Amino acid sequence: MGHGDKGRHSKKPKFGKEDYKKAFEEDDVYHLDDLDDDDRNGDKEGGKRDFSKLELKPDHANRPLWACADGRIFLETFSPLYKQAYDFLIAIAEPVCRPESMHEYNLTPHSLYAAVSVGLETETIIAVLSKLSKAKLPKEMIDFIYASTANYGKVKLVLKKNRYLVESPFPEVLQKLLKDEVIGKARISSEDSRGNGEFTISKTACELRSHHEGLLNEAEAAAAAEERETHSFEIDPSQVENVKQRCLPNALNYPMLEEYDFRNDTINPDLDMELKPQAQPRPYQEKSLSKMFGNGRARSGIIVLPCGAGKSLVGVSAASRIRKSCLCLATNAVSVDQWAFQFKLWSTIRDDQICRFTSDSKERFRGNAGVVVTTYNMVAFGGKRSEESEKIIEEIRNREWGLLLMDEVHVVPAHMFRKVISLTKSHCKLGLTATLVREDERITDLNFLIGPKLYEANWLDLVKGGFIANVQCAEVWCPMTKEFFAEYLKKENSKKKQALYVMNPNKFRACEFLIRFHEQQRGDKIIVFADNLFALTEYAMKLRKPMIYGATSHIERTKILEAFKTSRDVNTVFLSKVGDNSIDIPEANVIIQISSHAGSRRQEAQRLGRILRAKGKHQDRMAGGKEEYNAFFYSLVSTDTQEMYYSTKRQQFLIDQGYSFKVITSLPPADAGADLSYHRLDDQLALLGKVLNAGDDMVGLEQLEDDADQIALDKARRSMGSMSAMSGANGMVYMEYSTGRKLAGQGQLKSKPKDPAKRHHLFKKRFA
Amino acid sequence: MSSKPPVLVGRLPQQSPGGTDFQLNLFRCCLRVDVFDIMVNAIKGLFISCDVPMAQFIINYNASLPTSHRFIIHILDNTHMFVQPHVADMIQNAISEFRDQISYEKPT
Repeated sequence: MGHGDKGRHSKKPKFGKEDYKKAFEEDDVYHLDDLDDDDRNGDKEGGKRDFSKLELKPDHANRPLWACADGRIFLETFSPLYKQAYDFLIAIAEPVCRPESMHEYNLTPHSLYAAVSVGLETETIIAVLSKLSKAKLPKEMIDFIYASTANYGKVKLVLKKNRYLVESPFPEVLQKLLKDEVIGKARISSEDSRGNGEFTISKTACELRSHHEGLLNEAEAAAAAEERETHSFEIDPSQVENVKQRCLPNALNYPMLEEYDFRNDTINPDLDMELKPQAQPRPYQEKSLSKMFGNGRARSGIIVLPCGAGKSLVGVSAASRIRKSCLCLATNAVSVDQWAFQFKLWSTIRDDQICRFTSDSKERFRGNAGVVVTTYNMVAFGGKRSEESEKIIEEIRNREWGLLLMDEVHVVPAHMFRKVISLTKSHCKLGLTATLVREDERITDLNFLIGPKLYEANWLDLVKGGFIANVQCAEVWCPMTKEFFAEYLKKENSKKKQALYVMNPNKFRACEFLIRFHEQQRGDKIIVFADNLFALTEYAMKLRKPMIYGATSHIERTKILEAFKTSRDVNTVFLSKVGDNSIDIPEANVIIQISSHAGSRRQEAQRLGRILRAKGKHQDRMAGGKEEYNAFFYSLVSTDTQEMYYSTKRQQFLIDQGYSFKVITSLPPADAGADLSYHRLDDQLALLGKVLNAGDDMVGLEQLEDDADQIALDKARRSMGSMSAMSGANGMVYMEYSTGRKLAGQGQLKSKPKDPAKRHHLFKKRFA
Repeated sequence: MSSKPPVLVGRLPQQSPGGTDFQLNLFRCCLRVDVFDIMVNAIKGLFISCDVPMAQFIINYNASLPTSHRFIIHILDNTHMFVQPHVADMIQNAISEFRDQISYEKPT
């Protein structure tokens, strides 16, 4: 059964455009084989399943669920029990697709693991499921639930005095774990405990015992009395992740419980902070927090909320509930500032208890507990650091953190995550994200890197509640002009394909038309996104609008954004992909997307997130309010090109969240004529010449070889390169020693005495 | 060949089952009649009517073939052309392959 589920999960598009069709077919075959294995009936024909044998309960109309033997569950959202059923399902199953009236969910070992970890018991899960189901629960499903949850909670991973211990009341379980190669290797057999122990030379079982007693001697008396019967062994901190992975349901099936009993933690100093009274968490924020602190302890995990739904308040609330030192990780310097601001805004934390650690500001907090806000890059940076930041990083490394708060967990490359998590020791980890999808399928890694998904909000419910904006999504089809398409088709232009379809004059005209329409008719604030730098500059120059991209300095950025927020004359801003995450522009309510990062579903959702923050009066936004839509998301697509493929793929995530895309084919309207640019053929040809003459390095900046298949593209782009571009620095700012040079180039700081941190390492000793 | 425009004789167009966002109409069994000063030279062929990008696609496809296999007899304007009579299926196949490349199907 579990195998069958895995089969379904792997069926995500990870193939090149050439062979994706073939590959899907193969995948289907694989999937069907799996099903046959599961059922042993083998009478099921591809895709069509016979449910007519299912026995309906007499009062089935009142029950909202359909449960299938293969672990899929369908929920009717119009049922009066929808709210309760939704809360329950989101806890035990993975949402697959959530359109307006019917949701699809999937029971997986991981989702059940998450369910038990938030405190649901096997019996409860089955009882509630069968209560809600229209038909009798299939036996396969019940067996599956039992199998997936049986071993849960037998093993615990605890952090004591900066050492990771695997604990269990059952020595036989620990022995079983130790027999595993990975875990066996990860174990640290500390010398002193062996010396102390009564059984110096002993077999594993005895070793375990001695070990455990040795540790207990060190631990406090109170804890010792309580946990008399627990057995434990220590593991190498760098191997924690591997050990956790081995323990997951698909391997040894002893998922580890990670809980932090922060109330009884007397070793780590308390941090004096509380939520301010005006911070009123919304119902769904409350709910997500209650999942995290279900039994009075803090659980590690991920909370998924759409952008603009108030993730930071959840983070700050969690920190102020735990009241221990907190390390908050963000993706770039701008969001570090925002997080620090949010902490001060929502909680009573004092200014000297919170500090930012970025390449520009290296603050250190006084006292023995506090909040540190920094970036993933700063912590994971492997090169040489300045003396000052070396000290801070050392402090971060040595401290035992109560809470590790991680923002935008989906964007961080897995290897950087690993590094960060192995470097910092924390009792509890909370990941926050809006979009738990990644093209490189690394999402599942998060399960053992951080923890199970604790809560995921339903976007449409939040829209209905007026908590996020109601967005009209539209795909605008722009036909290619004759000349551009002729060039597009030529083999020798394969590297310029992207530039050609982005610079399509019809697309430009549609974009210009939309900007004009929204600026003049509705008075909206517009963001235009372009991944392709060449296109970004061309569009922005031609339309005379400000733009921000990776190389734009921090000062200029702030200036442009400030103007965009306050000035009535600046209503449109062009952003490259630096704007995808974390640049906070709450004023904007229209997005026009002219080019994008291939088929990335995450980027699409993140971009939509830029306009999700609710605007206007609350009652207007509620269902049936004055305005049906108050935000607009346009994606401009050149028809007959590769962009069509990408665009459909990108929309999948939002469609699964219940959004629908309207296709617009007649933009700009036929009578727009010469009002808009590139009306005359001469202009179009001049533009074409420009695109063709631009060097490959300019046009293809965001593009890799066309012959590489797509997953390779995504992987390549999502690595270090994309991260630094997203942080707006292209890496340079985060390298400590390069900032000096950069600033000196601007002439302002030239006269300042040289900071010892920026000296060449050969000269450092001399001046030290 | 004369510089005068060719005269086309043929049946009504037939809608191809191609797709949704483009049209490719094939006039089957057309005749191209080139009028020279004295004599008439007739070629049997296919009259294609489609949208602008598709015309470019067919032209590009034609150009990618070795000279002996090229099939376009005359490009009439942005949306019309006159081709060899036997290439209808070939063009249809090339177009549907191209369309498959640029359409994404959600894996189920």
